[in-house]
Amino acid sequence: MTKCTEDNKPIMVGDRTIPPPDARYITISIMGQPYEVPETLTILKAMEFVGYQFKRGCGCRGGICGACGTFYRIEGEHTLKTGLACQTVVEPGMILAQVPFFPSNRASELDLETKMPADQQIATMYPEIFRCVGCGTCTRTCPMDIDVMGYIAHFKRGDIMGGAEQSFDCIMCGLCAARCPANISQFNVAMTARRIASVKLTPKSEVTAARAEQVRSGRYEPMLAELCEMDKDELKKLYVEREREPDLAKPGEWMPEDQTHL
Amino acid sequence: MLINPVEKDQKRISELELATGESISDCYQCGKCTAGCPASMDPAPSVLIQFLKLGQFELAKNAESIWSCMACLTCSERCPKNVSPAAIIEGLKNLHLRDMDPRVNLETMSRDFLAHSPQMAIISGFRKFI
Amino acid sequence: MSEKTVRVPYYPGCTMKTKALGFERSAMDCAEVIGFEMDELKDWNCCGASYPLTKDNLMGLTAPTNILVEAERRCQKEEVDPNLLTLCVFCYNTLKRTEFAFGQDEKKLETINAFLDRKYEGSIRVIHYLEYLRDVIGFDNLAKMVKTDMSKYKVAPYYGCLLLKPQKEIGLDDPEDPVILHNFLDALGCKVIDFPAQVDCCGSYLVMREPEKVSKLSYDILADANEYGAETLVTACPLCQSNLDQSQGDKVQFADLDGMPVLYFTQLLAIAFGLDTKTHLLEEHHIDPRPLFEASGSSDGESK
Repeated sequence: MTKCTEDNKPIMVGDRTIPPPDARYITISIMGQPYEVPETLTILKAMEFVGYQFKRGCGCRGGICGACGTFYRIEGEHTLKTGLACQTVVEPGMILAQVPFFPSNRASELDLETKMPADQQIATMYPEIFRCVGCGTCTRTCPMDIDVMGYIAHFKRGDIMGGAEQSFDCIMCGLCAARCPANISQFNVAMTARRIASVKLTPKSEVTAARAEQVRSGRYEPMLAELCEMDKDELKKLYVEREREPDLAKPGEWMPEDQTHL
Repeated sequence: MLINPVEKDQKRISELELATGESISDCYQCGKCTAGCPASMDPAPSVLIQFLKLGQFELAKNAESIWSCMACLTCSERCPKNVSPAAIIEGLKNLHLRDMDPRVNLETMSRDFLAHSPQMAIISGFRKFI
Repeated sequence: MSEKTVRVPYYPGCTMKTKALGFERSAMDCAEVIGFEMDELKDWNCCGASYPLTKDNLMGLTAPTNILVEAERRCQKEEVDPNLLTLCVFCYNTLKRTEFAFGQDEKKLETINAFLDRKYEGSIRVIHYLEYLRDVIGFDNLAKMVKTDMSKYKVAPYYGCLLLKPQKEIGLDDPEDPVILHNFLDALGCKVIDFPAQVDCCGSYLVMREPEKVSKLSYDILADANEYGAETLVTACPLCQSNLDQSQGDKVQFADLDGMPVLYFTQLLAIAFGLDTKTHLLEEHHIDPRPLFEASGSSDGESK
């Protein structure tokens, strides 16, 4: 469905692009080519507006999958800026290019069973972290405002848990690695560290272990079998009529009336 | 090693002086740097500087001994003419490193070394060799 | 010593958190006895370990500048003396030379500030733990706190390179004939062994490419100390400690030399103070110093 603005330019509406009726057109440059797009659009929608179709470089559209990392500059400014295309609104004079993927050093063979201490594991898998010069470009690049240099500093000093926590919000867009003068794949190091930290450094929860044991013992098999017996309508009915915990219930206070499956 | 008296590479030597902030012509070849060098470099620091004084840039740059310098600064400290051979040697090393000609290979280097050495050894080694 | 504990902003450095943990722990325990607290900076990154020797390498100054900015903010906020205490000699050298470079060349500081988008005003004074003991506490005062009779120990002070050089920029002591560790050991009451190799290089980061050379240099230093009658060596540098200590595993090179323990000066200070050395990781040294000092240590490695 299309509709026209006063100067007869079509605007896509519907599930994709709904600019306000009085939206002005601004000029942006996508990979060197100038385009007129309505203001208020995000970079992603602006690109779709001018005809790009995304197979890669676009995912959740909600700022959390990290697929649409974008570098941009406002014409005439010296600062190179970064953002997620699905979250950043276009500005007049924006020059941009998406970096949907950046070649990086993934931990393809991560041994989580090894006896080697976590800090040594990171040091041997990613020795390049010791080449960090502390320029801080990664921190300034991160669209999630993570102190990337800070977590790399933690890994260098062997504090894997600290670095894992500090990097927790990382969405793996890879823009930090794109800018690193020391060729570090910061986001991969952080992901590896979080995996190691979760296995080796995080206290084990007794409750989870007990529940896992219950699952393994086959306690829930009959209930599952019962569900498998049902036809589609029965399942639907069961789902629609299920008891739900009220949204504002205090933790631990609410109990369902039917407790046969607990 | 043959000294070629005809081909002098003054331009690159001037660039090296600019990069390091050292004045190579100040050296009067007393040899105190070489006498104190714990790395027993061969060619020795004073010889490397003499190469440069004679315009033999490539001889100095390609000397394998520059990679044995451990930046202990004994030479720089003892120089009566305030030249820092350590800085000149680092300048020569940097030329290799900027040409992507590292002396340590991250992929093949000993994992045992990485796991058990103090970080300061790894970090400064990387600064000097990669 | 004093009623109110003085808090001194402290920059540890990466090695201090892993391979030289015993150094930091012993230093902190001793500081408590002396009457000051090492107050670790909250956000800190690696200093880069080696100060760039060439003039054009400004990139090497970014890391230390980040640390100086952090320290400056801290000192201004808490209104304490703008000192930054260091333990690791590499960190001390790098930070101190950065501080010196900015004092000499304002343009350099401007360039780095503009690049980092931060503002270092140049107020921080980088000091080493030894320097603090000498200049603020005073070795004579330190002597009064010693509880253990140290006179039976023959200790050789080993300085290495970067604690002293370049003298123009560091200015801690004479690089050829230093006395600061001598005086420190004197204050403890040890028998100080003056030996010629006290300022010779241990091989430093060359251990990455030519470990056999480091082994040889370490042997020369230890053999020299041994010849002059030393039982043990003290140092302030984690890399010297590692090189001198670990090299002794090279049985071929060290065939004719009995193992000589290499201690951090703070570990010795803790022994002199009669402190519990259980957490100071003496047992992690390749040559165990505990038999010599009859000191305690955790053998089960629990403290780590």
